[in-house]
Amino acid sequence: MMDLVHALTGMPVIIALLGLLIAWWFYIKSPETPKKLAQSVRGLYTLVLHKYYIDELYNTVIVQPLLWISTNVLWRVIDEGAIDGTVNGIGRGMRESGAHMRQIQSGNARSYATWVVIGAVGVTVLMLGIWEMVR
Amino acid sequence: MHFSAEQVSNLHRLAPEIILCLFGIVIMLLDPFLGRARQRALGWVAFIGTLAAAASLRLMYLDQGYAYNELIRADLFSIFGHAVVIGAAALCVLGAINYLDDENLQRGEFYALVLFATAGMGILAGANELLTAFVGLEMSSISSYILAGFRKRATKSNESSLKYFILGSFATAFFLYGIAMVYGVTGTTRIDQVQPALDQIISATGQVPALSILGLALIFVGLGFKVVAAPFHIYGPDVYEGAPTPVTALLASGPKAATFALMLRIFYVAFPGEVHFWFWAIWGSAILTMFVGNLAAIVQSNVKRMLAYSSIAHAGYILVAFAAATVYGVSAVLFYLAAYTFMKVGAFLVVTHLGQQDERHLEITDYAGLGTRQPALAVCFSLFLFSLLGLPATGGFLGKFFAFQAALDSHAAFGPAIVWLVIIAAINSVIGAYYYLRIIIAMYFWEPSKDYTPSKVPLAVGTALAIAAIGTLYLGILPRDVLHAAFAAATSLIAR
Amino acid sequence: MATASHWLSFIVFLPLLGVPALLCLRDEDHVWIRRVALVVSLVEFVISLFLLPGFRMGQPDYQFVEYANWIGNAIHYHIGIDGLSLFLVLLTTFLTPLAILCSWTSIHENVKGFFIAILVIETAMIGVFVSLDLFLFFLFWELTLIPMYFMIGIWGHDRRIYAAVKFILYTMFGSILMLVAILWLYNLSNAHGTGTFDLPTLQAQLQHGIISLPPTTELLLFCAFFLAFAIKVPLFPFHTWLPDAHTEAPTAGSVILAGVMLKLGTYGIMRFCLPLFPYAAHRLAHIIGVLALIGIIYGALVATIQPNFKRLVAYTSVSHLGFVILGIFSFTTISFQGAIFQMISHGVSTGGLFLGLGMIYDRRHTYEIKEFGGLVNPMPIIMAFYLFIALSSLALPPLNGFIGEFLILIGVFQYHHVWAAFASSGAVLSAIYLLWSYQRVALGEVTVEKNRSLTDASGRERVILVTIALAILFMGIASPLFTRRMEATTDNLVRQTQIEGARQDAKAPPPTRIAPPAPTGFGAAHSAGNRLTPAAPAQARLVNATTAAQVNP
Repeated sequence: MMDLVHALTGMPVIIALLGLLIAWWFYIKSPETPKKLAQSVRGLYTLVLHKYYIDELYNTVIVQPLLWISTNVLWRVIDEGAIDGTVNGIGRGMRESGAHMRQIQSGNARSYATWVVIGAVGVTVLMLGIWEMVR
Repeated sequence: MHFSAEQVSNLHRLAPEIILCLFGIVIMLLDPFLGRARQRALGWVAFIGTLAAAASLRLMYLDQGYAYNELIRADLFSIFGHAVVIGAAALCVLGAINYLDDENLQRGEFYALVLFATAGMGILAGANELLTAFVGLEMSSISSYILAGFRKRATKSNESSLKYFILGSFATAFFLYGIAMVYGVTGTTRIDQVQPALDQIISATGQVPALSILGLALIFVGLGFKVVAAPFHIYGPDVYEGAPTPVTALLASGPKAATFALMLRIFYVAFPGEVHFWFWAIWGSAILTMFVGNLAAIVQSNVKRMLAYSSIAHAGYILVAFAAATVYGVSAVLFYLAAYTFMKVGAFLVVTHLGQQDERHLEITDYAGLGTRQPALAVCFSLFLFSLLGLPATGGFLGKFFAFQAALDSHAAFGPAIVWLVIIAAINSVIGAYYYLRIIIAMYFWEPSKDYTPSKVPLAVGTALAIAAIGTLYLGILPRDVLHAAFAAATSLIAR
Repeated sequence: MATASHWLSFIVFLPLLGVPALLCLRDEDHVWIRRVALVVSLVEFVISLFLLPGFRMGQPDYQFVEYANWIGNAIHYHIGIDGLSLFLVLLTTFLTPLAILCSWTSIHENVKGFFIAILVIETAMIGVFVSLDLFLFFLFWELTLIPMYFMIGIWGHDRRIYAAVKFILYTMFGSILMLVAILWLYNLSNAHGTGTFDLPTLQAQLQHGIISLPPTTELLLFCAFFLAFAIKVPLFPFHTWLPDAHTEAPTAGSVILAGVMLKLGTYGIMRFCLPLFPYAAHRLAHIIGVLALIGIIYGALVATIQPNFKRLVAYTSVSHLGFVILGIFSFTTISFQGAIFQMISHGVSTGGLFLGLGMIYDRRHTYEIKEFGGLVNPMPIIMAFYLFIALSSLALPPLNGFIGEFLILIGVFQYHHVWAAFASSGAVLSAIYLLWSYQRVALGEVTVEKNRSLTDASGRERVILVTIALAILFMGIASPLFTRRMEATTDNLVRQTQIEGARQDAKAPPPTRIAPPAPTGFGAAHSAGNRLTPAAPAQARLVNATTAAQVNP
């Protein structure tokens, strides 16, 4: 158990000392080594220089998709399209039904009388229908 | 010519009608003597006549009972109905005085006709017998036909009068036919004796006679026409729009109130046992009426026509209270009628004033910027619109409130149908809010129109508007007394 | 419930009493109109502060109660405050003077009408918070709609009429169904005794089983009430009126709307939905919690990508109040306290954000983010305070936003781990939209030339900013002063909503109620052929469903 602890605690110390050593070697002992290394392992150097491209990774995988989804799906499709669309659609539906109602008012007195008769027939049928059911 | 002592001594129970008719006759007699310039004095005479009639209600109140061989029943219900109708007439007379001057139509006949119509409506409110009700109905209707056509030179007014006359007579024929059938089945036309007669038949034959149901249906057609309920509402917008606006104010309030009172008497006193027949007719009519009124009003740009459709919608809300079939329903209907009279007459009187000569300015664009130009009038109109919309602290809200409460209270008997009715009525209130708010938008949110400047409000119209506004607020904030009166009236109708 | 002094009524109606004073002034006298309005609102704030020393901690009952008969036996003028409403009233009286101050130079037409509208709405909002009678509550609730409708419609921006109509019809739709539910409750109380609209009485009747509520009915009534409040909060998906209303309203309108009016909804849920219908509340808690979570994340995401700065802040309200709803429906005392605290802190913070935005708008007359950039150069004071307020909105300790969200998250975690995890992401998201928008607007170099010459905060604006900042700091640091007064109420609320076994088994019947009788309403099959009554005297023919008096004695 203590070996594990020693191993785990010792490891960072050793790595830190190693880093100290490498830094001394690269910057004090032989300054041309970093340039040679950079030229020989170009790819690795560029990777490390750009911080393993993690920022770009985050940007393409998380940030841009999130922004895209928020703008196009959440905002435009759901908020403006579906929810507001329903709300405005109800309003539009009411207005169109109103326009239909308006057309029934033809101004023609005879058609009005017809409507009264239709209404009378409807009421009569309704009430006599109930009477029929009760009998 | 032997009047029994009983008959003569009951005239005090007809006091309002007598006073109204007397004043009407006096006005007609004075008309030729006063020159054209002084005719408007007759308007004030008519107004005093309505006040006197209102005062005479006290006589009725002190000694309630029957009149004229029990053809008329002067109970609290009748008194409440009279009060509403006389109030409507008083406000309309006030509103008409300046209008008639502007239209150069100042005649004594106008006021006389209004008073006669009011007397007819009073008879409707107090009728205990179907043919007496018919007399009252015709008194009010024929006066209304003439009043609707009072602007002789305007085609719209002639159209309105003719349509009203033709279709109104048509509907009254249904009403008469229904009475005839009821008489045929029960052998009586007295409202309070129909149900006992029906009971005898039911106990003898075991079922309700179909003829009585048919008669009831036809009576509903005739009276439904009068209150502008769907599906008999179709004449309403044209007639209301064409008639001179003070007349529209009267038509929208007085005959509606009186006819609803009669309907309450007939349905609740003559046919209470057949409630499961007529409930569905009222239910269906209420839903149709509300939707037709509200949806059609949305697309209107003419304010007068919009208010006409709104009257139709409000008849729907009253029918919701009607469907409750309890004493609370009656009470709610009566309270609603009182509140509705104030707000509708008030709204139409504002339209009267702003319409100017020849009723030229009735479009919503003419109301633009009224909030800045005539703030007091705009506030007044907004109050009426908010009341029509059903905003709390106004009479209109409490009217709907009690109507919904009474209807929901009956759900144990009628099931989910009546709950849905209330929900539909609630949704309709929101639909209705849209077009009332549009007028308010025009008044406050738009720039004042360049080509129309409204004039100052004259005294008579201003008084009427003030009374209506105070009434609306009073009924909205301190309704207790009127509510008690309505409930007492309801109890006097149903309890025996 | 005896009538004590009339202090609370005075607080409710004082702004309304200021209206005649304003009406007496001439229309053009803008200077005195503003001064009178400001003085009235400041006096109002000071007297409302006197509620604090009089407020007894540890008492769950209502205090400062006033009770008077109004309409019949059923409707009373019944008002009072407790831990829930105390701070909401103070929030209202605190924000109103700031709203008046920020409109000092920006309102030029119909100035009198504008300040009258602010005063009327203040009365209506305080009335909502203190009403203990359902009718009175509904009256004040509806009364808040009209002045706000006018404020948006007359003094708002380009799409103001659409926004105003949308706002009023949307909210009215919810509240009218609530009216039906209120009437239903009244009828129920009528059937089982004396009918009343009085909230404490109804609550007692429901809890003691005097009114027995079948589960379906309770669910429907809960939904009717909840819909009205959910639209107000706003809860996803009933939130779409909010961006339009907030964006198009004038600055004072947005401050009042976001600061106080949204809290009417959450207040209503805690005051009515939970105590009256606890069983239904538990049954629907999961659905509502999910909606609240969606609101938190959705609101935050949509806020992030808004090109209009004000609309961005508007969407943040959806997100923040989602936290409150989540806290409410976790039914723990700590989450209740967090919810109430978050209501207040959101009011102050978001009110502050809108105030800052208003200052920017006064100078540039636009809210588009691309029109800004590097504003910290010409206007360091405004942008510094704006950052401070944004950080409080972001829940940075030790500011007020942190307290609220933290308490809520602790409470939610006790109830439902997963929810807490998702909700926490909301805090991260709020950092995204607030900081990113701030960076684009304030930091860096000035990108639009016009912005170079903008003036920094004037004296009046500094007063506004400092006041908000101090309030934020105070709430954050001295939060026990607030939570101690809320404790008794939240404990009581937890007790009222606690139903044994309700959390584990949503299908179990509510044990605290008497077994409901056979339903005659919704459940009964109605056939048109039924003879309703046998031959009987005329009076009994008609349906007399209740024998007790209606609203009449």
